[in-house]
Amino acid sequence: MKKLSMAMLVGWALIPVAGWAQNSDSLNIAADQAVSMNKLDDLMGRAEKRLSYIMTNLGDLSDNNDANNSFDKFKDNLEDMQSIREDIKDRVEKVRDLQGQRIAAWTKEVSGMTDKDMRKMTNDQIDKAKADFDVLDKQLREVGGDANDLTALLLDLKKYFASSFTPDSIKTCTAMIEKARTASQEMVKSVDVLRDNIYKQKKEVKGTSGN
Amino acid sequence: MKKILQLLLATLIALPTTNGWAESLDKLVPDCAEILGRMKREDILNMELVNEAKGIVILNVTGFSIGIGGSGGDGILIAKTEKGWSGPVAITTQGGTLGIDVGGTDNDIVILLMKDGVVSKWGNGDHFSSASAGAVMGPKGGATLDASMKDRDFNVYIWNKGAKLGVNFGGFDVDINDEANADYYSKPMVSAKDILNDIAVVPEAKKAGMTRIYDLLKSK
Repeated sequence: MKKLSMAMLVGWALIPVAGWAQNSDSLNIAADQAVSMNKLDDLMGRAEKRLSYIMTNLGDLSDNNDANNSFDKFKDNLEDMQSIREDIKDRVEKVRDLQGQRIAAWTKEVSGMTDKDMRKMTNDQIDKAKADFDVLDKQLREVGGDANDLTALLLDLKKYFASSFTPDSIKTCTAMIEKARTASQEMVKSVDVLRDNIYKQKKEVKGTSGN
Repeated sequence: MKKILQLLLATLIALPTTNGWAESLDKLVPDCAEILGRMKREDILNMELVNEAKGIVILNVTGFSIGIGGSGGDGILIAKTEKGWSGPVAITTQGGTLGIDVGGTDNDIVILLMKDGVVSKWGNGDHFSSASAGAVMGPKGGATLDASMKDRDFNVYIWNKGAKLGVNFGGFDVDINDEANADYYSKPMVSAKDILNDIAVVPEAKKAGMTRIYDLLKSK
């Protein structure tokens, strides 16, 4: 009997602790979203590095007529970058999906509040979270569009040199190589700005997750 | 069997100190831009202090377990010149305890070199003993600076998966990666001194990569 009482006492004592440790659905989703944003940031960093390698490969190609096998390195780096871009697209979709889930869960939680002022205060927070994410999402779409154009140009350069690769054909293509390098440099700047915003959003999301 | 194990162990110990670890500058420059970008984004670096620095070292250092000891790192060194920041000098670090407070880890390190003499010491590929320099963790971004911070030899910033570690600094060698520098500048005899004094400049084809680093070094 004494043992049973002890066990009940321990069980009773543990219940509230477990309850306190639990987060709401929206907070759990927010934690997942912050992790996903972190992964997105890492992928973008990897893409930026590949793009930097590509810029150097193209520079070497036009300056030194394929010294150090620049064209082969360019092709390898372009392939790697395309693969990273696919991962980025998947990750962006995941972040968007989690944002939708988080807002839906949060909204549901607010509807359970009885005090009108509390509901309004929390709804204002939800509206801000939505508006901030809309800004980020717009940025993601714009940079994604520019990245599509740049990738198309780089693939065209690859096709051009695949069918005609001589010192003359490199010289003829100098203006297009420069166009690609300038666009790459602009892309790196845009991605840096985008990553700054991802970092800010991640901090905000993490704030709501209480982590 | 015992001999094979001994050989394997000897190879493992020797790995961080061989030139096989040295990277090309074409790869190091974007890697270092990534390190710098992250530290700036996360407000780890104090940009006011960056402006005061006479030189900057950006490194990725891989530490091994304490039982084996030592650490190997690859990175770049740049110096402030009359025209702005110099081109990059490829460096490697060997041995010692450069920023490693825990074994078996991977650290991104930015070191602000606050004196011209210290920049030269790095550029000469010197040995840094534990007592040879005053190295302290640099103040965070936005922190108010005092004169002592500007007077130190080094201000060190370390990033390890978001954790900022303490400084454990000394007993390491700096080596100039002459091969990487020669490849990058297309000059077989290029010296670190020439690069740091702007006598050897970044080739046109490579400028885009360094531009990102120069942009990141500007205050917000």
